[in-house]
Amino acid sequence: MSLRRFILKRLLSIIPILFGVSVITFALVHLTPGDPISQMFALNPDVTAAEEQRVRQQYGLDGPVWEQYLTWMSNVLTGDFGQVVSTNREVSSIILMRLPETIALGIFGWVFALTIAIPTGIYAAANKDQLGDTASRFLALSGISIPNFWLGLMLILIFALYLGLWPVLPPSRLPLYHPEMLWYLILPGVTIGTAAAAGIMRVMRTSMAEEMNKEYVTAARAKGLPEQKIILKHVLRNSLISVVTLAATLTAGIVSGSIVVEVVFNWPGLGYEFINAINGREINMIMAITLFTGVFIILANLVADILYAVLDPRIRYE
Amino acid sequence: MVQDNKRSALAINRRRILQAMGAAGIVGAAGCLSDDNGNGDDGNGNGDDGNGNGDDGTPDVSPGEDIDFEDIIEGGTLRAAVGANVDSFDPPYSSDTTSTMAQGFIYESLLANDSEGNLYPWLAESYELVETNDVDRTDYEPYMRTVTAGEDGALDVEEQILITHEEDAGAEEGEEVRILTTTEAPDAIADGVFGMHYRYDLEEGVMFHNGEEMTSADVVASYRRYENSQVSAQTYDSVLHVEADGDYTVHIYAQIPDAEGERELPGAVVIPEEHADLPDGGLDPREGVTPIGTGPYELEEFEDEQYFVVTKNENYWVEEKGIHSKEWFDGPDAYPDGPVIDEIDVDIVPDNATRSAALQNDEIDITYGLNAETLDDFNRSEDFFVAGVETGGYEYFQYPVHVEPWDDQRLRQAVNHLVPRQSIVDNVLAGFGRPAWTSLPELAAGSGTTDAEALEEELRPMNEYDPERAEELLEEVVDDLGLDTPIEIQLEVNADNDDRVRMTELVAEAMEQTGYFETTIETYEWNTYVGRVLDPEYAQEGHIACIGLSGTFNPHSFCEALHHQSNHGQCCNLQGVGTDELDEMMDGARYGTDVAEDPDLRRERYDEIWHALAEYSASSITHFDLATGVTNTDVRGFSMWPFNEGIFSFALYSPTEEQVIYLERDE
Repeated sequence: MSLRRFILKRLLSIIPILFGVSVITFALVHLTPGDPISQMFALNPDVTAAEEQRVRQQYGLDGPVWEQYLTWMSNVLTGDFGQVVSTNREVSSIILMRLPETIALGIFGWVFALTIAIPTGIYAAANKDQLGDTASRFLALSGISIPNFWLGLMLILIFALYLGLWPVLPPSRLPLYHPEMLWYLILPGVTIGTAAAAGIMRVMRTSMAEEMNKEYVTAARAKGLPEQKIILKHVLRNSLISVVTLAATLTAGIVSGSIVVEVVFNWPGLGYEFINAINGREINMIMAITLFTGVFIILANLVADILYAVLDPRIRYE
Repeated sequence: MVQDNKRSALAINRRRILQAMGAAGIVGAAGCLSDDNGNGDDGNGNGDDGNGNGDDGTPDVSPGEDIDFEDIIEGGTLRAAVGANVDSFDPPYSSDTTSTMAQGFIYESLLANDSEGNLYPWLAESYELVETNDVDRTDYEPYMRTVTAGEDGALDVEEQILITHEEDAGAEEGEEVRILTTTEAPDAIADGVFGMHYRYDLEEGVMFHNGEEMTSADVVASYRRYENSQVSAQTYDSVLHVEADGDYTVHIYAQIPDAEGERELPGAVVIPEEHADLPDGGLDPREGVTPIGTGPYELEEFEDEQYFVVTKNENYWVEEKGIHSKEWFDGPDAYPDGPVIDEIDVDIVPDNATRSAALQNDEIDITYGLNAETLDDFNRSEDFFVAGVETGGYEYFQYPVHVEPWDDQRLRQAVNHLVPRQSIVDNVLAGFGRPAWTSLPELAAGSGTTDAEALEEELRPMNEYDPERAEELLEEVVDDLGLDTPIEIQLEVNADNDDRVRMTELVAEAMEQTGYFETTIETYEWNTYVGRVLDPEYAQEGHIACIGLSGTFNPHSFCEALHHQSNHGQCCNLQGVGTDELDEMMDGARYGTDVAEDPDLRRERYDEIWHALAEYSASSITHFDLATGVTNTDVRGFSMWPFNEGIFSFALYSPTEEQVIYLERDE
């Protein structure tokens, strides 16, 4: 199968997957008690049950679930993701406003993860079973084990409250593209990238160690090539195949991790919005972010597969 | 009024983490049930050692800081943080705390309150009750029109429905329903059919932010905007009609004589007529419309879910006229004619721990809504000032009165004696609250009782933690009814309110200790819980529910919401409690020409209600919250308002209490 056909096939498979995701999410949200209207009037003695029903009807939230789903789906197919009930705002405009914040955080986390993980992985593999290797494995284990919300809170506690190097609140008046924002991205970016860094580092170390035992490395050493050259020129490329694949897959983890990290750091991205939407039972927003995340994760996996094939010509598209 | 649970649902915060690490739990609190809680023999935690609290169990927190008005420094920027986004700047399309808070900078109403609920003319120069008529809602029948109920009994009517004929309530699809709308109301008024008539003479020369003068047409249009809005029920359950009489006079008519009419009728905020017909929720910067009011601040910037900035209205009408132009104002000459702070920057920070950290880190000057432990830390620090006043917020347990054996009030009275109110305040709330020895908080006492002290003296013995009395009652009930013990009972509470969960655990522990009960506690996510307890069927399930609510200056809000049968299946009569007699007593204390014209009679009737409710014992109100705000020492003169939605507008400038804050920054 050609690369083009493979990509096309995978892109087409997104449609049933997203349909399934949308049905399941819609059903789950409706199975959960409450809706934006009950949330709005939760404990307001002045609002009668009839009045609440009137407002529910106004927003089309009173019909059967299947009917609501069909209405929602037909609107989505025309590009209308609906409104947030509590603020009467268009979901799509909110997503467009929040998306850059999450992308910036994700990219920073991703860059941080790769920057830390690859050199550390190389170092650990090159010094296998020595102190540096043990230390790096311990760090990797810690990075995977520590919940990111706890790590985030600790970073705030140490670097913002004790050392005063960062503010507790992100600078809401600065535009995202302002160079100064790089500084403010560090704490949430490190928090979001730590687990990914740990995962990549472990894979990097393992695949490097595996490659180092292969015959072509022994042959290169026999030829008298310097160790540094062997590692950087020959071993690294082969080792990176699995790392690149994993890195693309971990992008999904970074996206889902942003939900927690954005809340901890008061970072106004999609994750933060998602939590608000869940608390407020804002189904349109929940659906839109879920679909968006779904598309993103599917595409990230597709990129991983393509990269894997590009880096290793032995792989066949099936 | 809704108890602000909106953001309690955020599942991630520092406190939860500390709990997960074992830093908090019920173990410590459970030990406080017995008489050995460091207090007197009475076991009610009312000693004077306790937790460094005063005799009344509250921590050493003052309602505010007194300042010399001569020392006021003008200017500066106040940095604040609030706990939730501003859902809308459109008053009739928002009811959340933060929206009301933000709107308080911009908009004003005909009358102003002080912190005891007394009313003062504000945008109105004066007002008077012109007439009271002895009518009830059935008197409107001749003016009603008939419509056919649609699906689910919904009525497809464009106008605001004011009254639905009581015989037609709950109509099914296709049935005819008689209604009175805003269209028919003037006809009734023309025939003298109305409950009350108030006349408001407006201040002349009051300018909106856009430079236009406020007139009666704006007031009428403001009320029109409330029609069929998200909060229309709160306005049009009492308002019958609003009409202009020339440029500076407004008449507001009430549907029936209502002792609370003076407070309820002029409740709408005044917006310019040009904004009255905007689409629903359209009066909002996110919709491209800058809110315009008559208030002391104008909206300068707003970034959704991040921050908003308000700046001083340089043409504020009070500054033009002088506060001493208000007849009721008798403050000193040095008291300013408007707020003195130039700009307020408000960050939206949902997480309490983050707001607290930002305050410690000098990124903000003021915040509110912090939990008890954090408040305690701030209260002990010299770098911060904590102000607190008793509010209308309260928590209560409600018993399943329709399920045996809970239909026996002796059993409910027994459990009420096992609610350790003082321990709850001392150990769960770190003293930031006051035990509810009666159902009436201080802020509603003015119109809710003839003598608050006497009331407490009479009712407190019925509400004190008294295991011995509880056991006597339990023994009696068990013998009389031939009950098998232990009686199994499930207590229910929302999981995302830690204090409420701990409170429930304390009550369950107290019940278990008697040996008569076997308790279980079930916790639910907030939305799930609300849906569950507001379901009319919940009353038959036989569980004890615990929830919180916030009342107002109106004493009615501390009895009616919980006990009026009409509130079953909606907020907040969870268990279908109440009797026809109680309903009549409550209606009689608020509605009717007698109580509308005679405040003393109203107070007497409420006194009867508080006694009847204590006897009936369907609900155990545990405590009244302390509304608290925390500032750094740059903020001078901060005083706390009893309701969160008013804390900034009150603190910045409130002549009814001679309240003003200023900034004294260290250069």
